[in-house]
Amino acid sequence: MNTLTFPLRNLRNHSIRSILTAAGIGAALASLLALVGFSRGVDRAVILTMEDRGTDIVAVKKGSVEVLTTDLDEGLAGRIRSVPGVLNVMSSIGDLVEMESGEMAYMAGWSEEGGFWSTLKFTAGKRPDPGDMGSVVLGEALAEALGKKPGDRIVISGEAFRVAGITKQASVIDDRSVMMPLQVLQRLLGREGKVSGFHIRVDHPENSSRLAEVRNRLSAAIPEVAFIESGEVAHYALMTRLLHAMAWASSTIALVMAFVIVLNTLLMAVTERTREIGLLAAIGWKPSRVIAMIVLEGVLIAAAGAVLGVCAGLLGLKLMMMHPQIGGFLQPEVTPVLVLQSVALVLAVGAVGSLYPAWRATRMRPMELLRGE
Amino acid sequence: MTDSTEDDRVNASRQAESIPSPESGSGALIRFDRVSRTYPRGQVRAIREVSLQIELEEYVAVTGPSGSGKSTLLYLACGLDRADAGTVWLDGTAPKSTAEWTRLRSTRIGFVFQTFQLIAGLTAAENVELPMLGVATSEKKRRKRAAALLERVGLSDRAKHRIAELSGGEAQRVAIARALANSPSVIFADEPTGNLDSHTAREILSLLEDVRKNEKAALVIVTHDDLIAERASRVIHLWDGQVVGEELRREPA
Repeated sequence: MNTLTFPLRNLRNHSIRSILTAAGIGAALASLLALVGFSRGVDRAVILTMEDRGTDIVAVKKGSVEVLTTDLDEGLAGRIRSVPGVLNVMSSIGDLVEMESGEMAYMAGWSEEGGFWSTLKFTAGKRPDPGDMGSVVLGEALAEALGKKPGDRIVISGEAFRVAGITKQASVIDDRSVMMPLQVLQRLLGREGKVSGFHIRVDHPENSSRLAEVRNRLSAAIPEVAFIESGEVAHYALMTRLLHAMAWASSTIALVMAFVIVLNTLLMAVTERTREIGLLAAIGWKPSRVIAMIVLEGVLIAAAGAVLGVCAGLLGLKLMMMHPQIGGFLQPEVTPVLVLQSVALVLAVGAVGSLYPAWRATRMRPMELLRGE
Repeated sequence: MTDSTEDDRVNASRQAESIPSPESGSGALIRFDRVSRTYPRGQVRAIREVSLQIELEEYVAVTGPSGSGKSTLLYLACGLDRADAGTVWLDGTAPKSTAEWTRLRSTRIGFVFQTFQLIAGLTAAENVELPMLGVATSEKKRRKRAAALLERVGLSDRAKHRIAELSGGEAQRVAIARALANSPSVIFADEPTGNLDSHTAREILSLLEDVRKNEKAALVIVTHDDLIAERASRVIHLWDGQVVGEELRREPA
């Protein structure tokens, strides 16, 4: 018999209650992993998109809360280009669309200028020739989901296009995108002459002070536009901010629930075992040892919950990714560090949740407990 | 009522003569010096100015009717309850703090209860090991000691059995083995045969007497059974929270 035997035996003697408690904690951990994982996945996708395209600074309408639907005049590109330090500017417009098969896709319209088209890595076919307004490029995941290959016809917003090429990009957003010339998408969306934003490359992006300097110049030259460094875009976008807030709010609620579950279970356990705790005091167990035993029970049950939670969270994410509306469009970012952080958080919840029951156990008077039988 | 008051006066006088002063360190294992305990709820005076002492390796029975203060006396003697007035001495010291009493209970005192007070979820051997957690250095030593103690009480073949699988007599044997775990100086037994049939009760009593001799520990049995009390070398009679008499008897064979 060692320090672990007694708490383990206590949990095993109430196996159903222990399993249910661990399941509750596991559900909390699984939600935390899924929500935070998705939230981080969106951040990662945005960053990868910027990296893929070599974007250093993004220009969007000032005060707009949603980057995707911001509306800027296409003619601003010339003013941006004239600012010293700006290497080139790509105008882009974008929106989400539901394909005929029900798949969600991101439509991206790119200007010829800016070099975006040349950043694409084709697995099949090629980019539409300049001036070809009847062809599009599909991200690989979307092409697979739609079963399309170069040369096939595809209907977008009621209009037929030819698939010119399939591209494989690092970002899940690009992988799930339909890319087409800027003017085509402007027409499809009824936003002629308008763009969602500008992607700007600067002359020395590796130099952070130079980057900040160019951005400041841009802000001064065109005050009605917000210029955001590419690494900060994810934090600027309303969707990602909302997702972050929801992820943390839901995770906090889940953890509070886990705390209450541990508290309730161990309070019940302590109440049921008053005589036993009295006995331990009678045979010379120090209060600190009694506290350690109960806290250990809390930590053990949280550890069991953590194992369940990690398995359920990862399995749940896998199942969610199989859903056509989610799979491929959102890629959760569940790193080993996030798993370890979540497990540590849940173990801490187990320990903290057991402190009050443990303290209560040591406040009981052993004589009364022993006489109580 | 008058008789009782008179008895109290006589006993108090006798106790005062026989008990050395608190500072003398009399050499007794346990000493009560004018100890009183009143429970706030209902203002019950469970123990009233009791003075007594128990010597090393002595065999003492504490008797009296229900509510006479027997169990309170026992709980005060081991620090599970605290006196309102007077001093309880154990091994020449008068512990003041809960921590001191806790340490003494783990190393100097063994308990045997009427209702066994074993932990149902653990095996017999694990119950015996419980007091040793934090005292004996290694798991191996604890296991070895528990096995030896269970063998001593005749239960080596039941070591891995859960408490629910044991008879009342066997459970009380496990409790006796547990009481001996840390080689105590004194074993307190609170109505140890109260839940047993007469045959098993005799066996348990004999076992307690044997281990007292072998372990060289004092044995204090709280009982209301005269047949049990008469086996002790000294009987202390309690009535209404006071010592109303003492009898010295022949050491049992």
